[in-house]
Amino acid sequence: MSKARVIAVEGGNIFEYRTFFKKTGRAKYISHLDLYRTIQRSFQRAKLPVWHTLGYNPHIYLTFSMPISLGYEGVNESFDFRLVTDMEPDEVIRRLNDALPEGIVVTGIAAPAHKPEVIARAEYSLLLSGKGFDGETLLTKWQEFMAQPEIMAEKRSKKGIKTVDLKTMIHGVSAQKEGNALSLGLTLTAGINLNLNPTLVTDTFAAWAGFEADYHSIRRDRILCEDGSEFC
Amino acid sequence: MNLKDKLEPLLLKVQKPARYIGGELHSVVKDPAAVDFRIALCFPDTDEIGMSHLGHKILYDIINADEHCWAERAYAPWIDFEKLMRENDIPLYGLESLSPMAEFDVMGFSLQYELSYTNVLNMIDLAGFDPRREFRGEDAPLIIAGGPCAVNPEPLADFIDLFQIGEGEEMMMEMIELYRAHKKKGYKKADFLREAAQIPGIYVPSLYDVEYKEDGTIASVTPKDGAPEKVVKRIVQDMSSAKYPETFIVPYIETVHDRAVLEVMRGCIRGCRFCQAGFIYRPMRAKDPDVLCRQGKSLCESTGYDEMSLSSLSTSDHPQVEELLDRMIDYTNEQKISLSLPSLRVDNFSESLLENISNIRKSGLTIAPEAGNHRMRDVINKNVDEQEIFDTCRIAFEGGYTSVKLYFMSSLPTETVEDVLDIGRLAQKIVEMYFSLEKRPRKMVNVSISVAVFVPKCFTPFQWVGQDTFEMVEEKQKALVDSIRSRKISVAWHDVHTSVLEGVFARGDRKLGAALYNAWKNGCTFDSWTETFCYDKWVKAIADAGLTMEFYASRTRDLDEILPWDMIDVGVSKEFLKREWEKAQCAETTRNCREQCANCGAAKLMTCKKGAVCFE
Repeated sequence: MSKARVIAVEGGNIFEYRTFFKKTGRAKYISHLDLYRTIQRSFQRAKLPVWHTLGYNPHIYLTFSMPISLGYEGVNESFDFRLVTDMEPDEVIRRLNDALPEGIVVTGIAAPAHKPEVIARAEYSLLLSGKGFDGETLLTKWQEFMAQPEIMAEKRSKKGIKTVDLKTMIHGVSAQKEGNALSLGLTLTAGINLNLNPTLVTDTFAAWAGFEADYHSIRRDRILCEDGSEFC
Repeated sequence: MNLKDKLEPLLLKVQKPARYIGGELHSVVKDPAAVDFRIALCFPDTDEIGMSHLGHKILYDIINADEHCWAERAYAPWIDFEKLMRENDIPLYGLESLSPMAEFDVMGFSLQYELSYTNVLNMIDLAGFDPRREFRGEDAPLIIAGGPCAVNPEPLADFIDLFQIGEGEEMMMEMIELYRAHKKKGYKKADFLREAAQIPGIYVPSLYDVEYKEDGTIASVTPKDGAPEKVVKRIVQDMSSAKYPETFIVPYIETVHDRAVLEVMRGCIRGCRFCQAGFIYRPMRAKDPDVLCRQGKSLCESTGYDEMSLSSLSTSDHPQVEELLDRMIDYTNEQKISLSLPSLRVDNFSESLLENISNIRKSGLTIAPEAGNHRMRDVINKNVDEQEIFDTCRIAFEGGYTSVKLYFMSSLPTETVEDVLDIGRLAQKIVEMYFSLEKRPRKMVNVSISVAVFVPKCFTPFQWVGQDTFEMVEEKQKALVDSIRSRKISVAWHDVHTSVLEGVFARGDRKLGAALYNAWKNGCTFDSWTETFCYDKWVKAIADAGLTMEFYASRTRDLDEILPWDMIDVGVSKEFLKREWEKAQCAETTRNCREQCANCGAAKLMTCKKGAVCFE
């Protein structure tokens, strides 16, 4: 039995897998497009029997469920790829991890269970500070900021810039001070149609409080479906 | 000292932070305590450009192969990050160790184009040292430079301690060995430089006194402390056995040439008279197809690149180009790697070569006739006739292309306005030819012509020629643009200001150091970028140094004038260049090296081949 999703194509079957990976450390500075290229090259180096697209310029089929922004670390990110021969996930993991650059580690491979459309929310952890602000002040300001009935901000989307109420897209918040910095946990609306970046929330907060945010870490911890289960 | 913690909070405030943090696959990290020599290979432009440069990759590979040495990379930070570095007291650092330049023994600059010179000064300053060598202390790293622009080192003589002239593969390691020996016995810069000047190919500007005449031209150049009168360019004797990187650093961000680059040969047999590379890389030395196939495979496998380019000044002139392509295409097709061949010539575009090329991705066709009529092409020794240009375009159109790009130069020596108008006429004839073809795509055609302004360079037959003045260039540009009526033809011009400034520095002398310093002090950096280039600041900088652009750019030199680069010997002799200049003025051509040796003098650089003819 294959551990992949088997897709029948002309001339036989191909095998689709979902890969879960971590992107941490210096790898966080890779943009989505660059990550795409990086993974493609890793497949090439790993000499896996990958399926190529059928166009005039064939390239390795690769699709990301939920692109991750430049500067963000991610601990349970995923992409889908296809092989022309069925392989044991453990072997694919081993070969990919040998080929991947610093900071990107494959943690699991399985047949895709969900479609990317079901993604509804994501959980983030952030650590930020501002010149001239201590941790206590940041925390107090944050609590005041969140206590507002609405938080209006300009949000860029495919259709242009719109003013939206961020509060309707914030589903969970935890905050504490960490030395001179503010440590936040945020659960935000996520997905293909509507997505809120945590830095839009914190940049709006910083502008409101009157400082420029220095980010020490931004991490996406989990990607969730509507029912709260983890995307897999 | 590792700057990582200081860098991180700043990186998210700038464009493309991956430029500044290293960590790429195949970058070399060593233990600083385990090496006794550290060099930063500095490229005075952004990461995307520097990372694409093959010479850098070759030196990185060769130096790091020595267990005693560690070579790292440093690029010019873009203006957004430079500002943050200065505000936060972050000095220029090496991308591998993230440690400041002060911990390095040597900063080595690659000089690829004249308009990157202010970035050299800026990077030395960012490292925390005075760009002027006279004011730099013993604590500063030794500042060295090499690359094609180093064949006229004089405009940078006030800033650089030592230049390597020619190909660095062997010379670099000889210099490093000497440096390490001096370090062991207690390094003193002056002592080291005096001895380094004895290594063939090394030019130490402080060991040469230059005197000027009243008119600003050079009266004499006097070497001292045993420095050689002529510094002879170094070359690699046998390209096939020379070390070539088995892998490249795989960048995270997309670089300009983000692919496996395979150097198939060095030098060129053609001798186009405007082309500095065609003379300073002589003699032509090709690599064996066996070696190339092995190297290409190794590069693709270790990097995962799905694109490979066969690089040289004129790839179709490789003596075994067809065998090479046949074998390479077998591999690249099987691996779904796309192969690109820049720099093909229209006159040896054989049928089988074409067949192979049709297997290769169609990326648009670019042809470089360089000039609009036959006389001008004879003046520059391009040796391509109009029929060959038409034939190439016809084959391309019949093969499904609907657009061709043509590269030209204007303001070439002896050129008149009529000659420039012929550029437009040639484009028009190509459009007409397209519509006369039966087997053409049923689409509109687009012929785009790109016109660069000719810049006379040292070590070419045009090294004595005055460059067209602004007014002349603009008159010619306007005439051409006005003459083009067809909407199927589009024209693009290279900026006149940068071309003139390039002309100033390409044939500049030591006095220009003051102008360069002024310009940098006035805030000039990234002069080759339109968004940062500021011509007015340059005008002021040159005037404040008591100099004029005309003296360097538009002045025609006497054939017996002492030229600023006369202490450098790149192989081709002055007599040969004079002969070529005479012939150019009569629109007489010279045959390529393969057809007939023109006795250029470069053969003397070959020690391992018998006889005076260096080719094959």
